[in-house]
Amino acid sequence: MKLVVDGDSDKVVGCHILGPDAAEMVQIAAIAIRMGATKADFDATMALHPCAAEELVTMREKWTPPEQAGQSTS
Amino acid sequence: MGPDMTSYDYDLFVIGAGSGGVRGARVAASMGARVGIAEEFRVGGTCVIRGCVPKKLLVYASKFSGLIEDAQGYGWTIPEASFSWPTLIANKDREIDRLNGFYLRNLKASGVELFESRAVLEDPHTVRLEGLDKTIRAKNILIATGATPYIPEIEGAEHVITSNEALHLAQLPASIAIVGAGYIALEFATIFAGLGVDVTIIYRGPQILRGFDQDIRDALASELGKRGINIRVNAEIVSVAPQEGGYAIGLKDGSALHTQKVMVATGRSPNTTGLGLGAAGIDLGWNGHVVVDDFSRTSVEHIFAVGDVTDRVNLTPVAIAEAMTFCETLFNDNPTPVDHQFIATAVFTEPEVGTIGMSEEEAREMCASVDIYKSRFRPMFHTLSGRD
Repeated sequence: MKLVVDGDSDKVVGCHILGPDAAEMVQIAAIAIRMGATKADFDATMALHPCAAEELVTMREKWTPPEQAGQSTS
Repeated sequence: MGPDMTSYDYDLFVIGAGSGGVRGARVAASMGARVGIAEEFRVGGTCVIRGCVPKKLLVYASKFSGLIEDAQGYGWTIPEASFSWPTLIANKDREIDRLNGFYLRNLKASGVELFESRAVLEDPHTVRLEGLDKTIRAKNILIATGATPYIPEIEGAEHVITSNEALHLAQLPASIAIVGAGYIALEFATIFAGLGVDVTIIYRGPQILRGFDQDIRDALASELGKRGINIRVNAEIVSVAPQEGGYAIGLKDGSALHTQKVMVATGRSPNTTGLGLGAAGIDLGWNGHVVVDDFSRTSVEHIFAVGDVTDRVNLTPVAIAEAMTFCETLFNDNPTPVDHQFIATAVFTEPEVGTIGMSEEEAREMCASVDIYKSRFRPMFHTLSGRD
């Protein structure tokens, strides 16, 4: 599961899911994304537990590309 | 519909009764237009007759082999299961017939006149119905003829099948080589592998599912591999020759492989050949597709085109949306462009892919700054099934 976020606007600009029911999940996420939902909006949404789609609203850590890992100053 | 009412047989004539054509015809008729539609094959189009719908039914069928194994982890003992391909195909065909009948009835109920014939343009307002030896005059025309599998020019191309034939094989083969690695190739790989067929994907590029997010491509390749699908990338097919029990496939690097069936899924070509589009003055693009503007209008003022024949975003719901905005533009005097942004789409492999918006690679080109969030987890279902 992967969210692509515009770092300047915080808008979610891409959502990619590989796994059971990925099509069902992306159809619903599409509504929020088309409306311009930000990563903060995703984070503020309560998770439905236990289900696979809850991962969409519980991804807290930014992923760092391997070549940048180690150079990070923050 | 204006002063020309008497000199035309129809306000709108639609060529092609697939998802886009049928929707355009029905909505135009509901807005008061006199509408005719021509279809040379079966009403319903690619999606219903030989695409999305039959494909997904076969994907469902292919899941049972895994589920039967998974059931053991949940305490079930299932005696040895067996599978009948002819039963599946007959049941699938019955459902397609039902949907075809549903489309036919809906067209009739909406007052659209259906001609079961190939239709060819003679001039910008005249359509010849070839099978019926009849010509009609239309004030406006909508081209919705769809697309068809592209067969690459290789030696022995006459021996290959496409997705069209794969849906109607008399018998399930023991092995199949599928050329291509787009969503059609991979979905059929999933179907056949799930039904116990030995599947090899042959693709000339470096990784499957070109155009999708790289992480998804890599992860799907790994998952399909775990399910026994042999993926050969950077491999280019040059020949197919009959051989005892099947075919010998020759690759560009000089190697060969034996398989019982060869299927190609290397793209689709817009259906624009022999339609008289040149006679009507309609511009075609590089791929033979009908070139349209944001309102689905062709280079001829009163001729429009929607769906796969325009090679924009080749998906059923997109064709339907294009048909709806076309009707709004032409019959409601309200020019409405189609919004092709943020279209969710899926690849019904095992496991399935769902995607919307930009891949990480696209975002890094489009946005000054990009944040990525990733999560990998084992589906809860597989904690007891024992499947990876």
